[in-house]
Amino acid sequence: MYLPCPCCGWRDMREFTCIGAADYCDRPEADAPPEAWDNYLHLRDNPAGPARDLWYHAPCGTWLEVARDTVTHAVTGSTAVEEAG
Amino acid sequence: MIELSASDPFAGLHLPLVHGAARLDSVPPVRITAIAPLPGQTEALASALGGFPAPGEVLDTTLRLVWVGRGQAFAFGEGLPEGLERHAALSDQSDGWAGAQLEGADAQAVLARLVAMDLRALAVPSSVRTLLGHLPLLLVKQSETAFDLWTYRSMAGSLSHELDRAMRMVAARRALA
Repeated sequence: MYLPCPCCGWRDMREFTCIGAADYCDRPEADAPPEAWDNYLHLRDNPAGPARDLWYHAPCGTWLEVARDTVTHAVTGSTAVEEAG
Repeated sequence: MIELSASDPFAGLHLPLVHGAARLDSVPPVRITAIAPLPGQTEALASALGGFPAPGEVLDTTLRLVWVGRGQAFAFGEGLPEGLERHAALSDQSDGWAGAQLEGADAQAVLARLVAMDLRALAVPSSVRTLLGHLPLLLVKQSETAFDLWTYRSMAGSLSHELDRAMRMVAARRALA
């Protein structure tokens, strides 16, 4: 499997680490209610179709959001977390 | 005062290695300075340095500037401009890395066994961060038949071992053909 690094282009999967759903990028404020933290830490959608995952490309140090489809297994693109804000 | 003596990261590893049409030798020790632009300072840094490499780029100014990662480059050589610390975080990496050059007509065939990338498509010169087997790798393509391979100094033995093995295999295949 190949993934597109926004810095380096398409690279072999062994260079990447999968962190999980891209929900990890949406950290609640420190004073957010417990429900928001529970949701952030534990609750995930299980979509059939487009999904966004958080990956790390260790060789160049880029955190990236990868867009893929859980039905077709197609990888459709990626954006650097730094640039997505 | 303690006098430290310099030592070759590949000491005792029997370099240069020559098998078939590939030769592996250590790169002579060189000053390596990691340069990471401070926020918003990339343009000022580039004008002070004569450029700052984009991903995959190698720039030859008075120094050789090599892209090594997101927002980071290595300067190979002495003579960084004065006052650079206003624009970038600088750190001396000279003794943290081990460099070996693989060259010869079969250099690409050897690397094809260890690096999961098509190196033919890269420009000359250019740089790549990837893996060699399991080792972190900074690869600098010097020509179609010469590649500088840098890894962490503690992994110099694994680097030469992996390459020695792949060079022997490629040479054995050639002998059969």
